[in-house]
Amino acid sequence: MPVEVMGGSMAAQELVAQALGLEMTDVPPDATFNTVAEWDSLGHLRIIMALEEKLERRLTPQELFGIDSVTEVGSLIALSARCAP
Amino acid sequence: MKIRLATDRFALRSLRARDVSQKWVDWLNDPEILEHLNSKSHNLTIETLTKQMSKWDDHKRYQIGIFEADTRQHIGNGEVGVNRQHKVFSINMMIGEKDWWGKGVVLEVRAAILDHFFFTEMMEKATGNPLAGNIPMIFNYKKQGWKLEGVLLQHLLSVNSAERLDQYQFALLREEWAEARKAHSDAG
Repeated sequence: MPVEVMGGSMAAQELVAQALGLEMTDVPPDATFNTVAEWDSLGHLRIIMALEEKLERRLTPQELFGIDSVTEVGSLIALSARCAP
Repeated sequence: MKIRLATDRFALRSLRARDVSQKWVDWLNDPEILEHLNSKSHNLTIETLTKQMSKWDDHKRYQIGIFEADTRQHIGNGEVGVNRQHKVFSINMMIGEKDWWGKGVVLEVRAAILDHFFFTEMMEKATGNPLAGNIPMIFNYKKQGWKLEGVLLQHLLSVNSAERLDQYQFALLREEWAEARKAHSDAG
């Protein structure tokens, strides 16, 4: 696994856990909105807000629709890191 | 045909003129609620809302009240529009009681409405059009297995600013809903 993707995954776990008020250990790397009880509609809103703050930009409609797992959050963080100047 | 449905936590039924209340009027004048609907307050009153009740004919347009099963407290509404020629219906949900936000009301209630219109009214396709900024509602569509048919970019003019807003087009076919129901049942 590329280093930046691994970093994106850990950062994603941390971001999702914090947004949902959980410990990182409660949010495994393969967690999805179907496997974490606290990941409900308002939890999802907090995740999106935290991610947009981290990326310092608004997510596109396609990106918004794609987010349903820690992996997806990690991909966006890793992509952002790769694209950073 | 008037609607009368039940879920684990809620009773659902077609609303009548006598259901119009100050609480319902207040929801329709609440900026926080209207923002998600991109709708302006029309300074509704009990009288003006009562006059509008005739537009929901329980054939092409339904206004379905959501009542907490135990207390019979009215907490929100679902509006359904039916195109019987093409067997397509649309659903819009509004949870007026904010204490119920984030508690799975939309998923639970919409499942019962989908069941009714797909398997009793024999409709074939459901559609939904949330604003792209309505993140909790988008979550609900995705979680329930709806398919994203497209994004209508800058489709609507915001009622609060000169900004143009993106809108999603979600859809669900009867067979997709039947499969989702079966998968949920098998998992449970």
